[in-house]
Amino acid sequence: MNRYSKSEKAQIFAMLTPNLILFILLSVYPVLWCFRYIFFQYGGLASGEPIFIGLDNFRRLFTNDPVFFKALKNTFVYAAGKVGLVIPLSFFSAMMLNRKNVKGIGFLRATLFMPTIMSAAVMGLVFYLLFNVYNGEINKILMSLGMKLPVNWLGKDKAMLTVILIGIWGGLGNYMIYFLAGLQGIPQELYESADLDGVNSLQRTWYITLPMLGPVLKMILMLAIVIAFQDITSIMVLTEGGPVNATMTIFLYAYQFFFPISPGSIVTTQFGYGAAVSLVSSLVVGAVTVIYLILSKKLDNLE
Amino acid sequence: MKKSRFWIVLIVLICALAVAVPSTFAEEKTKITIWSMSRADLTFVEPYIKAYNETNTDGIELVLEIYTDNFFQAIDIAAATGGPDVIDLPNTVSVFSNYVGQGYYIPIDQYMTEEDKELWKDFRIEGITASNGELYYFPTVATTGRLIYNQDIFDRVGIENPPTTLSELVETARIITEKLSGEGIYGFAANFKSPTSALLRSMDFLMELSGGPCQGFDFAKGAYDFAPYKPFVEAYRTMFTEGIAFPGCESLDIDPLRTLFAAGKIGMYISWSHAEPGVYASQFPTDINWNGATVPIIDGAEKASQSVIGYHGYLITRDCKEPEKAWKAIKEVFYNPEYIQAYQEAGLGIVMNPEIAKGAGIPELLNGKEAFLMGPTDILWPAVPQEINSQAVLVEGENMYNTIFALILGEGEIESTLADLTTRYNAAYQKGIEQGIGNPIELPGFDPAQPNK
Repeated sequence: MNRYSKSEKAQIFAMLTPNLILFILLSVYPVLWCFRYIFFQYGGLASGEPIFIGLDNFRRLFTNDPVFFKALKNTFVYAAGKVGLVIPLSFFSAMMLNRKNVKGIGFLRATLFMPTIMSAAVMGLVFYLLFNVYNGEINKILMSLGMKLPVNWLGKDKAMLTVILIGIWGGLGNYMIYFLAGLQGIPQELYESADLDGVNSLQRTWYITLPMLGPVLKMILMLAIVIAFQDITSIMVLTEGGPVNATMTIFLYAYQFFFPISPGSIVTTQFGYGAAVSLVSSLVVGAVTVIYLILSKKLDNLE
Repeated sequence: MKKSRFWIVLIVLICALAVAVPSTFAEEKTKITIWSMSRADLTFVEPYIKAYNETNTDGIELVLEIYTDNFFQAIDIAAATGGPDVIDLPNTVSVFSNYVGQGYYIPIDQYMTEEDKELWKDFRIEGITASNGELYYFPTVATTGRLIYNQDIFDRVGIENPPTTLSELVETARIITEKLSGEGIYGFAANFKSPTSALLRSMDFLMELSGGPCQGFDFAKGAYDFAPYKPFVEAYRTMFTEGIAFPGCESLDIDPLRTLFAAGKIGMYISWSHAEPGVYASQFPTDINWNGATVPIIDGAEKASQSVIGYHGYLITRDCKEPEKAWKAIKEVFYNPEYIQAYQEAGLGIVMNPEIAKGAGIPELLNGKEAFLMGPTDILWPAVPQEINSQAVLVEGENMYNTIFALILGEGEIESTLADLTTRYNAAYQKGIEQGIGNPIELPGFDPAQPNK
């Protein structure tokens, strides 16, 4: 038996169509346009006709491109660092701010959410000034507290830590809002009956809040993982992937084959090779997402 | 009623004719559109264009359109779909080399008089201003690399002259850092946030002035050879791994570096000759006593010449319907020696043609800073393969600038890494030739002291 009547079906299609058209025009078409060059050597309009080179872009990627593998490793380090810290932090922030009738709670929520609405490029620039080795405010504070030498925050040894910290700062408010929404959806009766049973706050969190947040947590984690893998803007402004590729991630690496990051850091435009790097990078993110979805099935279970 | 309607219609018709007739019989001017990305020059250029448009008897109207960040993208699209009549070449030769092979530009030999040819005789450089022997433009002003130094710091530590060799550079930087780092003053700095940007403006010139190669390419051998870079890498490695250089150069951009220099915190750095005088006159005004000098050379090397990047050359495109008129206009305005001399005197650029430079006054901001003018060792070098067609030298793995930067920071063994770089660049170069998109370049007997001969 058909579940929907004809008019209902028409309504569904009418409502989906604008979205689908935009999705096809702005997402599917550009991706297909890009991926058609994976078998070609092509540098854009100025380079003349594309040259068919078969699987050579993949041969180069897998056998002769140490930068890609360094970027791949960096991407996992960045994603693990960012997700591993931002999720607990935003959860605890949400727990702290999930209170009613407390003076200033709205202001605190807005303050934590503020980085989310800031442009990542502006954020990168501001942090570039803050983390500046010589006259950055952070080093000035540390040195006024008695540290003798300035910390090279954006040097090759600490740059990854710095971009992770900035990633956390930028994402915290967003995930906190998701957690807040999830927390507010938990029926109060559960807490009330738990209180009657005499549970302490740690037990409340462990046995009620966390299990009840399962489906929300699953969605938040998936978003956080995918976003962390794709973060490039603040890294691009802050370090351009350097020094010596210390903060190069796979999508930033792919990006620079299509668009030079800055006039001084010109990498020869290579649409074909960039498309191959993008495809493999997308497959990596896809694989991680699938693995996560399989592993996280348990989080759906509210029993 | 009918009568009044007739009169209204008649009056309207007469008015319409009064407006239309003069414009119909007036002579249509030929519009020559020029695309430029030099917004900063607009105040200087506009009066010249206005005067030319008002006085020329050839019925030409020059229209200058300024593009900024989107200039290169706009050229890319224009070359494929149609664009301006003339392009004002910025200091990026790829605007010429990327499109000349596609027939986008019109050669100018046919329009030049014998006098013009004599005046610009040393400017026919294959891959830079010419292609297949045909000349397309000549740059009116130029830039190259200079050592920028703080004379006050030199005086404080007892150094009389700027360094002329790599070992002197390291030693001078070491002395400054040793004596003044307590005050936050260091001997040397580089904008290594972008290694390409940092090394393009320093290492390339230093290597050329030491006898080459040029961007890794040895014209005499007709192949890449990075072995001669070893002394350079060693000197820089010393400065950047032994605490001599300014802390945090790995993430330093050029403008933050300049602000630190203007604040008197940096002893020396290497940058463009055309940019720094203007920067410290208006962008980051400073009271420090600073100056420029020729870049140092490798110890024991004989001083050859260093390449210059010429710009403000005017390329006539195939979209120009009246190229002869376009040539007339650009010759009359932009290639006019008086205009070029006035451009230098206004402090906007440094004249490249020695004949024209003779009559050009020194701008106020270069008083006492004559090292920034073009000298006898500042010469146009031939184009290296990746300049002629970057797609013909697609190097697998890291490019030369990133590789050398990693070596400077102490990563990897110098000789074997440079040998690997040579192998990878030559493999890419040969592949480009085999694919038919690159051409072999070999100039037997190439003399780095006279690269344009």
